[in-house]
Amino acid sequence: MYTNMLSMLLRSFSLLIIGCLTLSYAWAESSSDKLLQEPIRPLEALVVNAEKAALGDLLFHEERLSVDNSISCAHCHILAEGGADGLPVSVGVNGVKGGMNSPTVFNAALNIAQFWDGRAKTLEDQIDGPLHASAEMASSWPDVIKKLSADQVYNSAFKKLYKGEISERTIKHAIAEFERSLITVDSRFDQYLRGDESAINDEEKKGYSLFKEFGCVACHQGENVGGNLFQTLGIMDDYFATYEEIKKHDYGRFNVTGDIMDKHKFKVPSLRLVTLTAPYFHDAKITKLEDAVRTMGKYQLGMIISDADIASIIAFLKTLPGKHPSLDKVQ
Amino acid sequence: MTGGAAKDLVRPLITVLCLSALLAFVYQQSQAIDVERIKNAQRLLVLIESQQHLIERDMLRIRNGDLVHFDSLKYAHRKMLKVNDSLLHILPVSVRDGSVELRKSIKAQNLAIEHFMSDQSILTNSLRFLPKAIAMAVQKAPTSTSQFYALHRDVLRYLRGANPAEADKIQQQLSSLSGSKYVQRHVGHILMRTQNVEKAIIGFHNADVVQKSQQISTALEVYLAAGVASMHRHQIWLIVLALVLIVYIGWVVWRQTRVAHDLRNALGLVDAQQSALDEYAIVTIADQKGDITYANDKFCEISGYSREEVIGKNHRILNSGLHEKSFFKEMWGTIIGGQTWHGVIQNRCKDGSYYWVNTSIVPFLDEDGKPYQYVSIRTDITRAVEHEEEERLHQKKLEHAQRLESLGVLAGGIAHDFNNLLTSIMGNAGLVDRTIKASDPTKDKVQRIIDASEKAASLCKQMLAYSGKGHFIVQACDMSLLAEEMMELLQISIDKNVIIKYELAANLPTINADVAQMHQVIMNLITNANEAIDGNSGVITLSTGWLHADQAYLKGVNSEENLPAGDYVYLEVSDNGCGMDKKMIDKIFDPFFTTKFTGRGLGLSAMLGIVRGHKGAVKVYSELRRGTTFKILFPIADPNSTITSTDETAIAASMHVESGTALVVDDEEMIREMASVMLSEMGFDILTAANGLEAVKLYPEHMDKIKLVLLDMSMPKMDGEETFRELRRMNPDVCVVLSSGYNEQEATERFKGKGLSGFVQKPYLPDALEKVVSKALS
Repeated sequence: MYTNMLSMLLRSFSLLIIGCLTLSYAWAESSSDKLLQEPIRPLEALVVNAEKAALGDLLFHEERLSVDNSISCAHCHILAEGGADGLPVSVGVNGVKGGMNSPTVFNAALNIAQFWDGRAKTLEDQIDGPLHASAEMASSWPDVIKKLSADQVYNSAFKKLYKGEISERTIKHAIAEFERSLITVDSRFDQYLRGDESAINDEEKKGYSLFKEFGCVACHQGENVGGNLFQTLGIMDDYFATYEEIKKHDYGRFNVTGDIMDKHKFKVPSLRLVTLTAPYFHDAKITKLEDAVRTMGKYQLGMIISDADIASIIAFLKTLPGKHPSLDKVQ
Repeated sequence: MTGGAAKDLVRPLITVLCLSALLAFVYQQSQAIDVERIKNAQRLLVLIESQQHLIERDMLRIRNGDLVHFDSLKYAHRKMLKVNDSLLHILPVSVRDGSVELRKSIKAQNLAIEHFMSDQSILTNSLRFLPKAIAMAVQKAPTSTSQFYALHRDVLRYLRGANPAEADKIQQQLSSLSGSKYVQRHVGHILMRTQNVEKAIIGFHNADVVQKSQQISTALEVYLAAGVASMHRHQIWLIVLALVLIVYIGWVVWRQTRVAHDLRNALGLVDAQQSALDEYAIVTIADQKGDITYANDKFCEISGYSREEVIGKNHRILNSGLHEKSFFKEMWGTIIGGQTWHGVIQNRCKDGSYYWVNTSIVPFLDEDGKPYQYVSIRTDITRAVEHEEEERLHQKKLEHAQRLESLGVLAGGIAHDFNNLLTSIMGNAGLVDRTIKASDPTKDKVQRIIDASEKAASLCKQMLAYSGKGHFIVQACDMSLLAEEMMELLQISIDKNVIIKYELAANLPTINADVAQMHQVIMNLITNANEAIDGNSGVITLSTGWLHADQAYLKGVNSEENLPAGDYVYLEVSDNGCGMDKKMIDKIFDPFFTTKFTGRGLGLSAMLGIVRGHKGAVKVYSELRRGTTFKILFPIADPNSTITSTDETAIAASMHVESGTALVVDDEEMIREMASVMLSEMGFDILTAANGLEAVKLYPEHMDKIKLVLLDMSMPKMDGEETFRELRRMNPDVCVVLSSGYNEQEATERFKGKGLSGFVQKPYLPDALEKVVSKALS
């Protein structure tokens, strides 16, 4: 009697297990199928040393990195607001205005290179730029090291993590480690990519399909929705035709490689936080996202995109920003 | 010394250091290969290869539309850049040159990837837009529909091969087709971008990075192999050197232990030798200045200094003052020159007494041949030296005595012969004198002969006295009384300015002495003292007394051998005359030595003989210009000793006629003649014998008739003593009268208890002979 019940129980239980497994497998299969096919991939956090990242966080906000102790990295890359400063050009030491639009620091670790012209191969290399630039921090490593070495907090932190070495190498590494921790994971779109159909609505889905259909996705693809190639600004039409003065930095990648083919080529920016980081383009000429989309369509795709389509695309773009503890402004 | 020790240490130390340095160098060389780094480089090269395949594959996949994003190329691009950077640092220097090409290729490849990505994305878009653009263009210009489709077809065909000829054809088609801005645009891009993409892919491929990477990998392998081989070689050298070092150290240690062992043995031997030496000799060690750094126990024992008192002090503290400065100068000169000095030194003990040492001073030389210390080894020879001194003095005394004795013998011999002649002269003169009447004028002449002979006889007696063989009449006498008796006589003998002070002890013990000889002694001394004062005013002190003389006192006297210690009576004569120096004092007792113009130089020698004959001693003290003292010692009379004295006066001078035969034995014919005459006048019949043998032959023949034998002492063939013995054997009651020029005491000494009937001293007058004969026969 009891054995009968027990065996029945066991049988039904095992059936349940098998059923669940099959379902989940099927589900997984379908989602992996989707992942394989899609040009955009979900973001995954990078593996970082939490303690070193914490030190990097401190340094990122450390104003003593600038010559007059007024500017820190966070000054131009305001984390709570998307990792950029919302200004056309950043303002450095003594109020000196910089030359180009500061990109976001979030997800920067996933870019093919740093700066618009890709002259910094790694996050560490990038730090030299603003540190030395007269329009930014206008400092020098010896100066920074001296200031940091005088601080007991840094002394003990570096002693613990870097065997007491306070140098260009270790400071850069700490800051870069922090930056590597700034990945905005688990956006709604990523959830969608991972198989959650309900993560985005129809409008957003429509926006995504338009994004693909129009060819935006040819350059804004991969895990960072861009950031992994250089592209000419003005494929179908001359972007710089309306410029009064073409500056050196407008030549972009050409400044680094010297190849004529690389004239006016810039690193394709990531669109992950695009809805948070106006103004747009290297010259920060466009402040509204709609206008940015329209400009892209004209010069890169050679098409005029309707307002409705722009709205859909923007709706899609809004699903891209992921989560991060430092990021307040998440829609 | 330290220099040598340092040299000994330096050489092995340097060797060890050199070997160690070599060892360290070889070890360092053996570690020169960083195998880990080469393995990393190899890993990097493998990575490059795999990346190359991945990139080319993905480019083709994207080209084919199989891969729809550039993320893998992004990562590959980043990795290739990173690798390119690391490659320069990770490769060993010798291989780095080969990597320049590789790095250039990789850089070019990265550019190709970038261009691929930008061109491909445009190509993708244009390809996507073209159908729509064609459709729009057809809609706008339906007449050109087939051209547009042809164009589209050709473009798609072109896509397959990218044939440049086809591209030209398409261009022509484009130019012939008007309108359709979009078609123009997109076809243009398609043509351009397709070419670019092809170029990028081919360019990437032709960079031939894989081959280059493999070349470097091979080079690395070779490098590693060489490095490993070198490392192994160095390791072998390391082992060899280590072994050499160990062996060397082992050898040094072994050598050291052997040396230590030998040293221990040597030290043990030295220790033993040292203790043996310490037992026997005085050892001191001094530094270069002569300050004592070590003294053994024997030194302390002999010198009386303790070790603490002497260490650090200079050797000078032992200086006795005996040796001249030049002596020590010579000594120092020898030892400073590195030579051993031998010699005899007198040193002074702590308490001031002296000791003699036979010394050897050995300088110890350092490496430069300079002395750094002096080792003195001495043996105490004080006793030997003292003995030697004694011996010398003794020898001197002996020689002196021998000289005197030989002189004595000479004198005695002369005196004896002289005596015999005198006996004849005096005897015959006496006989003649008897026959001459008083009124005869020749009586004076004969008397003068007798006087002169008597004077000659007394001179002989003096000489005999000097030789110790004079005729003594020994009797007990008191020196003080004797001196007193002579006062008047002495007073006359001295100069007017000279005073004699008498200090005569009362109750002086008696001595056994010949009074006449004592007189002679005193007279001699006073005369000498008087002459020493030599006309100035002076004082002569004559004193008597008695003292106890011990051996030490007796050592310094002039006497017969070995006078016994005991009580002696002394007679002392002092003057404050001219005195004598040491040289003179030694000579004064020599016979025939005199400082007087008129003098035979026999006075003091005779006196000495007399004193000696009395078993006495003479002591002389003198100082030039101060004065002289003569002290004569006589042994106190032993009441037990028998005194043989012959008193001439005791005998009654009776002249009676004798009868019988007298045998005269004498080797001198003159004596025989004279004695025969004298005896025949006495009434004897005479028989003569020239020597003992004859006498012994004659005697038994006439034994019953012979009443008297006059026997001479010294004869050849058989002397008096022997003859007497023979005669006595023949006739125990034989009456023998001994005649001799010698000392009665001595002569009769030998006949003591043997029944000698009498003794007559030569030369004798007939009366003397008669007296003796009468006494003998009675």
